Amino acid sequence: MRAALAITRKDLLLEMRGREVVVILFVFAFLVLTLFSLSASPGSEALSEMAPGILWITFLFAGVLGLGRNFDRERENDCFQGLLLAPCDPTQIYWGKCLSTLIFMLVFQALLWPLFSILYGFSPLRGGHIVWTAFLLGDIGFVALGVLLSAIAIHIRSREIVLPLLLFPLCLPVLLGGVQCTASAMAGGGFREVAGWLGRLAAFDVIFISLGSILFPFVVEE
Amino acid sequence: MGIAMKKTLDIFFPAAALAAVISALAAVFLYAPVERTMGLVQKIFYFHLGSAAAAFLAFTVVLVSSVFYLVSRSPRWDTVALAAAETGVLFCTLVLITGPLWARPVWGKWWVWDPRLTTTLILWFLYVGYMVIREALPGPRGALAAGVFGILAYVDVPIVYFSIRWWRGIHPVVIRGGNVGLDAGMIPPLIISLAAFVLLLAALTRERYNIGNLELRIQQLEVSSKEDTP
Amino acid sequence: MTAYLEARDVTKRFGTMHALKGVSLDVARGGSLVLLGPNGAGKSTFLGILAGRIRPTGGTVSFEGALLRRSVEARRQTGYLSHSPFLYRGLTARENLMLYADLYSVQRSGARVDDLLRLMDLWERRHDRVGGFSRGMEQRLAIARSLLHDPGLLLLDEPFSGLDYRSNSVLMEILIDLRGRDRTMIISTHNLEVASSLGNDVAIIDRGVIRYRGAVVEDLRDLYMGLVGGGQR
Repeated sequence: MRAALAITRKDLLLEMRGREVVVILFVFAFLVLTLFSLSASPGSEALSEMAPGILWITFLFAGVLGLGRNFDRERENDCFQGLLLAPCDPTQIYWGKCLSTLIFMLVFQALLWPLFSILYGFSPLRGGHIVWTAFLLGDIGFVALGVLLSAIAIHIRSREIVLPLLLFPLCLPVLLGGVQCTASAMAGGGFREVAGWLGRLAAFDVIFISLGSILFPFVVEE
Repeated sequence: MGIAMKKTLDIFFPAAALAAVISALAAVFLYAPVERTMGLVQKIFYFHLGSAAAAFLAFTVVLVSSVFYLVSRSPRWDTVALAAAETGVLFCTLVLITGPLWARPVWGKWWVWDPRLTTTLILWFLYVGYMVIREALPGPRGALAAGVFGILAYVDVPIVYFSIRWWRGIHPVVIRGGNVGLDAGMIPPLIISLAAFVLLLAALTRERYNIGNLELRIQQLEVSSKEDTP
Repeated sequence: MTAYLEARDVTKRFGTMHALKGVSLDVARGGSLVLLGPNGAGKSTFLGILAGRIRPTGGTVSFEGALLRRSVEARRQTGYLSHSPFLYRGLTARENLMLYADLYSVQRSGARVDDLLRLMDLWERRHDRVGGFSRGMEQRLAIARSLLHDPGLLLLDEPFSGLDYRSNSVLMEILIDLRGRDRTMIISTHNLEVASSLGNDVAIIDRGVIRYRGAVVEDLRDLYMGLVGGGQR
């Protein structure tokens, strides 16, 4: 575990050093939320109905950009190869990077959620812990697939286009689950209403993390 | 496999596919009854379902050969996976074309976001993504990455299907609880067209596989010709 | 007795370009071998294969009798310096070494890292980010990185490139000391002086083929020129 945590710490340190990226990403997400608001006529109910979906699509965009950034740093000076040559199981590298990306996503969501709730007209406290459970479970699945595919895309020249092309279709179940839970929580539903979806999200997470852990060593093999 | 055997199969699959396609056409248009409410357009169904079966079978071949490739590292399995992925995308595209052709007169819309339709579309995206990996990463690295993606995509498809169904769920369900919701006269043409599509898939995949092997052979020859000239 | 590190008929091609055309070499424990050759001879590719970074097209590499590929033990025992320093530009010198100390499970890592920073004359700059380092400083830090876990096998690709006179002699001292402590090393260079003072063995490699393998001889320069043609390509 020492290696995995060292990689997580390293990623977070680099993320802190390049804080401006999170800020730029935040402004980008702000813009996406603004643009989506144009897709419904002002004052119509359609927008608040679409709100959870809009939120999660924004997460997906931001997440894929964050992943791209993360792996760009690994490409610099061939650092990723340096990690792979270390005498540790490649799955440790996988877990380390999953954890750092997960924390990155949660921090980003903590920043975006209040802004989103103001823009789409409801209290940020609404839904409370259910929303955050949904974020966490949704993020885990996204990250498990995202890190695995980023490790494939790292060798592809047009990786910034290819990564979302590969990742978004695979992520669809996670996206749907996240949207369902968020919608239900925003409508004032309790745990009982979303338990089914939270359970499914957790099951997806288990599947994707297991697949990722098994398949990652093949992806990074030289 | 002996060369004679290979040659025989190279002739057998296309010949069988041709014969099956002609009999399927005959069965569908000459034998099968015309559906009461939908009329002639219902006949698309035979090709729609046939393509769907072929696509599904092809993607299963991709899964199995991907697993075998990752375990054995034999380039042959990789060539099989690539061939099956390409033919799979072809048949999946046919499903997505024949579906709306049928839906337009029957549902009044080219497309609805029903679980099955959405899943098929996502399936198509996934295997187009598979081909993008093959295109972008040549050599053993691409083969490994594609092998991983071939497994991932296949496992993802049922998850996508169920999650969309839980989410909201107009697509006709033909086989439910063991009963076939079809006129008895429609079943033989259906079986023949299913067989025709599977044979067509086999013939095309085999042809693509042979081409893949030739490509590998050309690469080897290029390499060894360079070796001779210092 | 099996060799410590043994390469058997290793070939590597990139596309249709043959970088290595069947290289066989073995090194005994505690031996030091200098790989000599002009640019593009295949030295870096060969070291990359020995380090497990590059997969050979053909042939095998074994480490203490076991196949190198997928051997965690071989990676633990290997210190590899490549042309890419494997250093994060956004981390400081010390943070980079601490990261690798964790990856290599180095005991008492703080003290070990500080020792190496002093040794490589980077102590004053330990809290500076690598992004601002000169080529020579980066090289020194990369050398420290490869020595961090006190590896039994050192694979150094052009270790003296980018070093000033002082660091040059420091590195030379370190390597001579390691040789005295029974560490095995393979060092690639195109510098004949380095070969004479470090190797008890040299291998001259050109266009992917080993042209000479044997002890360092008096007239190494003549031998090299004769085989490689003055290094002019």
